[in-house]
Amino acid sequence: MQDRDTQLPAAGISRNPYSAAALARLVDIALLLLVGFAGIADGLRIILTKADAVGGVPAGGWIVLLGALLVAGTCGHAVREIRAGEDAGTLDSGDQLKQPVIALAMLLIYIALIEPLGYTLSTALFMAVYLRLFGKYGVLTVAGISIAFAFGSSWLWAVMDMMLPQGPLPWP
Amino acid sequence: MDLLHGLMMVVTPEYLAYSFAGCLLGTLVGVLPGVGAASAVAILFPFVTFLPPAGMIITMAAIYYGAQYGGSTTAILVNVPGEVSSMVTAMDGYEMTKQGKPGPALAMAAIASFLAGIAGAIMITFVGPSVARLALLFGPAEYFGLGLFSLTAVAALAGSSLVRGILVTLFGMILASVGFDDSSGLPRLTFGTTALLQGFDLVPVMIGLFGIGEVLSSLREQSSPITTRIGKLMPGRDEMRAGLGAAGRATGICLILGLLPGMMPSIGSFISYSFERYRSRTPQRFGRGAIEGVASAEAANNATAMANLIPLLGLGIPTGPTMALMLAAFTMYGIVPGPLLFTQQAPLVWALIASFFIGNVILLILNLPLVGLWVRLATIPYPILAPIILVVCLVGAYSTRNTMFDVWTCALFGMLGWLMRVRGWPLAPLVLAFVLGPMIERAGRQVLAVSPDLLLHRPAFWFFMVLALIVIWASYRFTMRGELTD
Repeated sequence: MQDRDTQLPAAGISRNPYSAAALARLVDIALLLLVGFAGIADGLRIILTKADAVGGVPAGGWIVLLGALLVAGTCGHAVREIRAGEDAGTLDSGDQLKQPVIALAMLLIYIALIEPLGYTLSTALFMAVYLRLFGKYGVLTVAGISIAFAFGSSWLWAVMDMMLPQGPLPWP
Repeated sequence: MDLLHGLMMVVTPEYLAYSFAGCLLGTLVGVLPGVGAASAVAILFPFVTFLPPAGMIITMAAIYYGAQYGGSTTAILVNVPGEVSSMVTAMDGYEMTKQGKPGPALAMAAIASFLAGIAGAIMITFVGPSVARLALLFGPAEYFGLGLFSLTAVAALAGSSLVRGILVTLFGMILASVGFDDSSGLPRLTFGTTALLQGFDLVPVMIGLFGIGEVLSSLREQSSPITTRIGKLMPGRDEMRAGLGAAGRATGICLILGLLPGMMPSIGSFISYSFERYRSRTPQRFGRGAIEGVASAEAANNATAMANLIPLLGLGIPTGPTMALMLAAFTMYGIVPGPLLFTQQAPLVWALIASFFIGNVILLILNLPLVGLWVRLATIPYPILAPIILVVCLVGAYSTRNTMFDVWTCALFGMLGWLMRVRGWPLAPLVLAFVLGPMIERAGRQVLAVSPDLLLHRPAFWFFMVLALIVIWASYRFTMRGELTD
């Protein structure tokens, strides 16, 4: 019989679901606390420095109140979840997270390139890399779809009076 | 008489074209696997902003119900619901497909949606103006109470945990406070950056949460290609009778429930389906291809969506994410939904209501004969579809205010939407908090400026507080019994 610790998890199941779920829970809580404390800090800053301004105290007081409620609620929720050992969310394995994470990284690079390269070029590049990576299509197919979509959509947006960054390629 | 004027307006070629284009675009986007109605409206929103006010709002509404119908097509044929409300349709619809009856399932979905849509339009015609007249009596205290009740209801009903719903609501309300404060003009939560002074616009936030977030989530799931032949379309006489009965009951239930804030189509579908199974003499057929299951889910879906429009038009209160976008569409043109809408913008409102009748007819005519085309569209490989949707989302976000800030906002909220889906946090309270948060703050500050004692003397405020407590109690009971799902 295989030892319990050496058993391989089934496909799509995290190798260490307990620590992974705990880490994800920690990220949830940290994000909520960060936003809550940001609300409290900025609200107090407004109350202390802009008390003389018309509406200054209520403007700061509102976000202090929201921040305090969020921090208190998050702490209570975290304690309850940890005590009960429950976690309503799910956590995918690394394999399942890989595709969305890569797609997200590509999307962020694409956004960063829109202004310097312009919409048409950056879109063609993004489409080509995406199709090659996830679609496993041939070079000609990738080039055809990417160029057709990038130039076609540029033309369509122009027809709809949408002003997008042009970059070095003046199309359309 | 007003409705007649509205009908006269929308049967002109221009407005018919808006309705037709909206239904077509909505179905086209909604039929794509992994794209729900809220996502479809969010993605397409920026592309209809060049239309005149009535044209844009009519097109948006048509996109909404078009996308809802489109979502049910993939749910029935490949068991890939575009949104939560279509999950219920998939339970029996996909079973019918496996039994070789995809045609009757699709036809029943279309007929049930049509009947519920028409009944909903009739209800808006009669109830909408009355709600607006009632809202004329509302002051800041009542709006403060109504806003709090709406957010509580959305937080309680949107997910499987009330606490998570409330935390997401508070999170959204803080994010909605970023930028200049309307009343004092002071910058809040900008931390010295000029980009944040303008705050987060609702449209890029919605496109990110629902468009990009949904695409990223769908990358985890592998949808099977559609290979089904549609064959015979219309259900038999017995199936038709059973389906129509179920659709009628679901419509009745959801036209009432849909008036409540937070009562989104998905919840209406689950409740109607459960009711239909409960009253059936053969409940074991449900989940194994019962046509009543498809009919009740689809009718409930549409009836709730239509009823949701009443609080939006009459009170200016959105009940779900899609209604929040509809509100954004109105405010883009300086039109404020609420008590005065039916008097100050009567032609537009009645044209919109009349367009529901026309749009539902167009949808029925469009969908039944074109079902084969929609099926083919749904077979486009996701590796091609996903980058196209992502690019369209970003272009839509950019075109909102022509700034890259909105594109980054869209990407940021896309990531947030994806993580929230993965971790089981509800999205609807976040969106509603964005819209209702500033409204509650404004009303609360007005009350404070007059006198906090004002709240003690306004029975409507206490009525909404009691309603909020009832919703919390009901949510707690249902959650304990595991009947409320995200």
